[in-house]
Amino acid sequence: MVSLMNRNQGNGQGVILLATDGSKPALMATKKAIELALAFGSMVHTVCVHEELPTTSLERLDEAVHEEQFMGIHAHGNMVAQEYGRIRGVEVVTHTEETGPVVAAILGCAKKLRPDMIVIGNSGRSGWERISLGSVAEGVMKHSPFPVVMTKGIDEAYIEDILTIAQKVLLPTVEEVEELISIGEVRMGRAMGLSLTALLAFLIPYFGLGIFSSFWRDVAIEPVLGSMNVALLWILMLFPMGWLSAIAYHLMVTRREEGRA
Amino acid sequence: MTSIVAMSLVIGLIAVSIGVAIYSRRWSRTSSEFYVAGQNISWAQNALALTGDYLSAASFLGVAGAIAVLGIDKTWDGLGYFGGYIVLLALLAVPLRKVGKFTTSEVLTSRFKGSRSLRFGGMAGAVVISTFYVVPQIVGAGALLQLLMGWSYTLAVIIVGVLVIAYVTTGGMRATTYNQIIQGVVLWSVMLIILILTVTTFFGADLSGIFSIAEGIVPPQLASDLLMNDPNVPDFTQMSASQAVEFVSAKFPMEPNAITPGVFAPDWMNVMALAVGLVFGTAGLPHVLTRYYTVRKPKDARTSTIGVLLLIGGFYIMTIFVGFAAMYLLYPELMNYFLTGQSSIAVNMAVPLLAEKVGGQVLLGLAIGGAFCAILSTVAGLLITIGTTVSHDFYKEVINRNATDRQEVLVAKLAIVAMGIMGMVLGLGLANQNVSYLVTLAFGMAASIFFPVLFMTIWWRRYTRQGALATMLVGLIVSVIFVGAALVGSGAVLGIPVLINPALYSLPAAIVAGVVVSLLTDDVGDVDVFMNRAHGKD
Repeated sequence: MVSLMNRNQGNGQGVILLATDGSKPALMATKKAIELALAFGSMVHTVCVHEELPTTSLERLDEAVHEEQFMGIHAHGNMVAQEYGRIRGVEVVTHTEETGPVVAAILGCAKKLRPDMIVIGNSGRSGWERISLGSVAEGVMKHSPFPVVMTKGIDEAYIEDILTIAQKVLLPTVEEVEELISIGEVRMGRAMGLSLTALLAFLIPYFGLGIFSSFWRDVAIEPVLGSMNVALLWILMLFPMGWLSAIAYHLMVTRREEGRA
Repeated sequence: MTSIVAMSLVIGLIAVSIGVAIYSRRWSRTSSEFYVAGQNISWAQNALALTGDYLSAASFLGVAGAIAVLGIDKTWDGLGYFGGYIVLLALLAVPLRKVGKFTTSEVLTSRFKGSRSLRFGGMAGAVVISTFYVVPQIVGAGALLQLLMGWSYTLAVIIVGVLVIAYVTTGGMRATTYNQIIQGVVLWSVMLIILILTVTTFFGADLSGIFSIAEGIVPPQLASDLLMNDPNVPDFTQMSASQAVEFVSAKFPMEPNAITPGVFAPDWMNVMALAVGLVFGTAGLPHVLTRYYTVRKPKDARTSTIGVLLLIGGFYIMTIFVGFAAMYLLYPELMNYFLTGQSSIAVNMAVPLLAEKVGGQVLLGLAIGGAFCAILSTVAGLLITIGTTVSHDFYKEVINRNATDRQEVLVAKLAIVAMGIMGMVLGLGLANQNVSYLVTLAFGMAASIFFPVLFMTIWWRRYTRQGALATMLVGLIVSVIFVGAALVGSGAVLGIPVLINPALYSLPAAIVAGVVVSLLTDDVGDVDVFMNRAHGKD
């Protein structure tokens, strides 16, 4: 069930780093980390990685559905470890990394903590999911300068006690996360003013071109720059005008927001 | 046209696209370095992804292709597609990011809580607009395969449709963002290479030389219409470009040249209809709005949009030069395609034909492969948007509130298959239309159905639930009627002239309906919380 790879030594201060995402394979690793900490008199640091990915909601949902068979449960990994550590008498310190890639985030945390070992669960993905998602556990093993303990698969009997804890701290689905905001005074007038100014700086010459080339066609076809006529020059000038309007708008809004802050 | 080199490049680019679809997510999880999805470059990644999503067949094939056959009037397409992002930046991008909702249905129901009619209206609008956007992509892809493989258009469209549906439902769904980034880079680079080679090879490295020549050309679509029933039409394939241009100009000395406005949009109403539809359409396109879901912070929504403006602005400037250059260099071929009934190639294939002329089979392969991948990724984005709104806004919220994630994904995939098939059927019926023109119609619908309802929901406190519904309904009905009339060639509806874009009628009608109904009703929804969210501090 457990494989060990010896690499460079950690800081020798009795730190085990647990990488967890609150899934069943991660619960295997969590329990193993706590047991190793009890055996070696170590403390456990946990790291959860919240991936910040440029993906749409359906992309995430599709991945979650396909991952379900390998994850089994989606609990708050740090909270489960903390609670299980409290019950077993092991000190647990939690860390959260707010961005991916997941392997890099775990290794980044490890380089700061210099643990004696990293404990991580292998989900045992296979088939398409294995091809498309790879294995974080194997990535950590491959690149870690510290020893890595990897638990394999899911042993339902082994995680029975910790699973009970995990079921009490399930992560909410995306739709259930509703940000609570305080209602204060919102000054929309100035925001609207800035928006309309930027917009009109582009729209007036934009629609102006349409009116001009419709009603003053004879002037529109007059050459102004070599063989380029007025209409063509106007068209080509609208692009840089649009860029300038957008950049000026961005700078004004940024200054306004810094003022509000 | 079929050549081993070009075919290999096309297959290679498609393979890369599918490879990215399979491996990008793995790479983004298991890389041991922070060089992907890092906080510092997220806005740039998003700008490229938005650009790749936006630069579809319409932009790559359609804009330059339309300029090549109709001249200066079709520069409005690129100009409007560009200007639309300024409207989005100034009015909607940041408030939408702050609200955190990216389908129209969700934005509306986060202010007007629990409104099933608004949710359904949002879904219906998204499906109609996205379907109209899918069709031109399939038309473009069909014409590409027709040109490359010599297949019949029907066979080409069926193969494209099946490929796209399979791509999206099996794996493409999960990697569209990374594919969009690559498409953005490929399309931009290929257009630049075509422009540089064209100008250096045929115009003595003088960009203005392109306009000097365009001044003496009668646009091929106009010229072929004039020659259609002429018994003395010469064989254009035996002429050089300059001979063909001189022949037509001598025969029709009074006709407008390529840089004279009025060939496509003959009067102010048509010009303004196109201008309004394009510039307000982007802000109502469901797949563009959805992509803001991927932007990390509200400030990134602005910086990403500015990045997009720089990238697409540069791209559309290039299409203007490429379009006019193609008109001259391909004049005999374009005339021949029109006069022999191959309009679907004439109106859409100027860019690949020019690529072949200036860069041989290698550049032809890159141009067709790049365009094909752009079509794949854009259709993927559109079908995902349709799948999302049908499964989430309709199935989960209206039909089965207890639906599991698995059921939701299944319904999304079924919707994707259904819409893909509908896209194929419509694509078969619209073979001879320029893809950019078809996309401008989708823009007109988006400008009428979604832009006004989003604008008023986000900026007008007095806007009501009933007003929002009236806005969408009127925008949908008026725009669909006039788009249908334009496609069947009807001159007027109830005595009102049919224009090249419905937005000049449907956008004001939608706004007036929303304002009037709002003033007569009083359910302003959860306006305080919503406005705080949309316009409060980051």
